[in-house]
Amino acid sequence: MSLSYTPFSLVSGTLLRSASLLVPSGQRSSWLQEWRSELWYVNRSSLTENIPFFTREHQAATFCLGAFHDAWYLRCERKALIARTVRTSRSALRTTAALFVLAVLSFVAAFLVPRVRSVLRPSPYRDTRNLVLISPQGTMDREAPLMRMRYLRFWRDRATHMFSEIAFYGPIVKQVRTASHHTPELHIARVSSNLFPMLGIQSSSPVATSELPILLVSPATWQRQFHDESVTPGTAIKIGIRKAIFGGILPDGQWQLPGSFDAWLIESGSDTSAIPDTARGYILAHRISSEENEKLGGRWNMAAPEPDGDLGNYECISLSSMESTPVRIYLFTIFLALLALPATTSIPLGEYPLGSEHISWALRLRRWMFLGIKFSLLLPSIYFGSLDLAYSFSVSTSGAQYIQIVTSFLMALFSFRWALKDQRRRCPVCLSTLTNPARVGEPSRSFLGWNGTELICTDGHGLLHVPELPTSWFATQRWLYLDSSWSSVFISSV
Amino acid sequence: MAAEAKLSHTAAMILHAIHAGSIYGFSVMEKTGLPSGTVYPALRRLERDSLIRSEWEKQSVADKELRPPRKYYHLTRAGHVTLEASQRRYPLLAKLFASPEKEHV
Repeated sequence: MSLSYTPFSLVSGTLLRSASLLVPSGQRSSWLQEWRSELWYVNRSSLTENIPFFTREHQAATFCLGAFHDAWYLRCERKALIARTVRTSRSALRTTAALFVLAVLSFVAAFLVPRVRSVLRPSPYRDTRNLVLISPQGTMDREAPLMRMRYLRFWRDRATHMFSEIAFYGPIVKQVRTASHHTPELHIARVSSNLFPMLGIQSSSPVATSELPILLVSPATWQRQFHDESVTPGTAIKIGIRKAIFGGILPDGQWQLPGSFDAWLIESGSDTSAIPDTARGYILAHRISSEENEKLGGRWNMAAPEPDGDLGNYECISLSSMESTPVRIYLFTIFLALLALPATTSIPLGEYPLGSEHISWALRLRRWMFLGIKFSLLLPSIYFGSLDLAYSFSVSTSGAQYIQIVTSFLMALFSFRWALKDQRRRCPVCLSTLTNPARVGEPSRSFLGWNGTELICTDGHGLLHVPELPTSWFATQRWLYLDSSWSSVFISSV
Repeated sequence: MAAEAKLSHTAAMILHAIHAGSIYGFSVMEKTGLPSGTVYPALRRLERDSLIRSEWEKQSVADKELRPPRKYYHLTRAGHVTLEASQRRYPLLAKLFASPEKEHV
């Protein structure tokens, strides 16, 4: 009896061929040969027993269905073998650990620096979408106190369709005199009485209803200037030549508006008559929440009449927009860095044979996961690191934002570049750093021949060919998997 | 593989069948009555554990008889030791399978 007498039926042949796809490619041909041989004997057995055709076909198909179990077993075995033999290299683990430590350190530093902490914290003010800072057009980034008190007085009754309330604060430098004749000079914000209620800051001072202006100080100023004094809330003090009442301490993080101050002098009364018309400062307004006003968004320009009869152009920005500025700067610089990245390094990671039996899908996935982990640890490090640098060394918010733009962009660009270069210099199987670079070929002697550098995985997984000059036939680095015949050369090969 | 390795009943059955002379997959199926989806993976496991070894029949021998070459399985030394241990564990199996008879192709 020969094979020609019992050809494989279409069903059996298809089943075996389909099952063979599950078998690791290196074992596939041998596996298929065995199953086809066995099927031949199954068919011969059926023929000799004179079984009807359909029963015979059913038996053969049932037999072939077992091939799927066998193929699946071999596949699982192969995966288990690879998992047992290919461990992630220490260098990859060290790199991941170092990046993790870097991310944690930048995060911790961000919460240790008070200014960075206040940037990261959610705003303590209420309804920040409708709290808007008004400044002359084109001067918002300068953070200079360019508004005058007279604007507030002029607009208060004229802008009721848009703003429900308008408040003012302006910087002054005054000597504060206490009973012990200690006279420190402080940077004070002179604020209208409606500012803190508008922001939603509840004053816990027992002298909130005083007829005299109330002085609140920052915790740092209290420590520096007043902790030795017998100054308690309600104590009378002198600010310049004016009398005031010491109101207490404004907790850290409660002041997040432009300007850095040691103390806040809350003028008494609703008419704020104590603040002169010419006083320079900032104007903060509460926008009426309406559908029409919502359409303006978080930043818009407006033309408003001025006390001298002219029409001035002003820029309004909501506090919620100001609050999200660091995140927007970060995202923008990441985008810029990604655009600039191809100019600093090549983006392709190289050519790796896809059909290789030496590397499973799990290992391929691990390689991509390693790259993903590097990027996902770098991104928070860049964000927190740039904030740390920006807000630790700059006094003004606009200065800090400029520093953040530069540092975030540079950090993103160079760290992404490093991540790609590092990935290219690693073995795709065990992720160890490739070593032993060797120069191969001489460009002057072989015009169309290959010349470049060869690196090797010390565990014997393969060789990396890096061309000296990219050509149309060898444009990027190429990986060559070493087969098992090389295993004797390496001490701990797979 | 350790001689003390405890085989499953199915693996012990297949080991007995090979010892009894059923030295290729289909004959093991016939001898044990187990389906192909059980027999072949079990053969792989036994071979992985070095209890059996496999070898392909010479092509010239198969060609002479106008049939495809078979893959034969034989017990190894460790396989024999494990077989003895499994006979103590599954005494009925020894009775079920007769003494070794080489199957002639």
